[in-house]
Amino acid sequence: MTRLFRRGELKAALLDALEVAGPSNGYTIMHTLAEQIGESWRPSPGAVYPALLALEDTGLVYATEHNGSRVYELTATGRQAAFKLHGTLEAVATRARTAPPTPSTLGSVLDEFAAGAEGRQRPLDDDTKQAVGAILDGARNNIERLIGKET
Amino acid sequence: MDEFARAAFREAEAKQILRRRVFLLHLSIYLATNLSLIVIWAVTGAGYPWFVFPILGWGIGLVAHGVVAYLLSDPEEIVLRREQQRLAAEQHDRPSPPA
Repeated sequence: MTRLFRRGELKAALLDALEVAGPSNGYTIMHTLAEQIGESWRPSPGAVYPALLALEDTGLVYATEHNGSRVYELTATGRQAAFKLHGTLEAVATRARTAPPTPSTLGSVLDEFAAGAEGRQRPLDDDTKQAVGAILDGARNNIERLIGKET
Repeated sequence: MDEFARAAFREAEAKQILRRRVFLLHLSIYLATNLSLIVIWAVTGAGYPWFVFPILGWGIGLVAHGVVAYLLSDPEEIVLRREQQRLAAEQHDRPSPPA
């Protein structure tokens, strides 16, 4: 997920987001980033929290406890750095908007189908198993005919 | 530690478990395939031990996968581990409340 960001860009974008949002907790910062970048980036605390810790270590950000939540704020050095790096978040957002969508393959469509099928672990009796097999055989034949026509 | 930090630690843990499970799957496929090759070698006259070549060749890949699964960490994981150690030390140093 962090591939959208080039080296050091996530930290720069976090400084940008903190400058825009002001003192905020981790989730608010993450949502500010996600709103700016759009659907092509699925944010996660696993990427954002280590980056915030690294910014805290380098003295660009400081955190205070507030109602059981850590609130992050730019230090004076952090504000200077954010001023210098201003526009990183916008640049990443523009790149995300203009990036070509990942092409779908038959495999990706089948993976989505399998992941979304309800009751995957439910045991089947022989009749049901045969019926499901027949439905899937029919679907496979149709798909093969469709793909055969396209190629 | 707030909820955001806990979510980050959970995510890192899940990632590590997944990486190790994928390695164990690789290991079981390696063992099953190579045992089958040894059985084929044995039932076909136990001549020249050709099965050692896939064992060694694939073994190099398996060891590399094991190193990635168990010994190497992402930069994010290193930062999180350091933070976990810092929090544990902080907890340890904190005086216990009077009884």
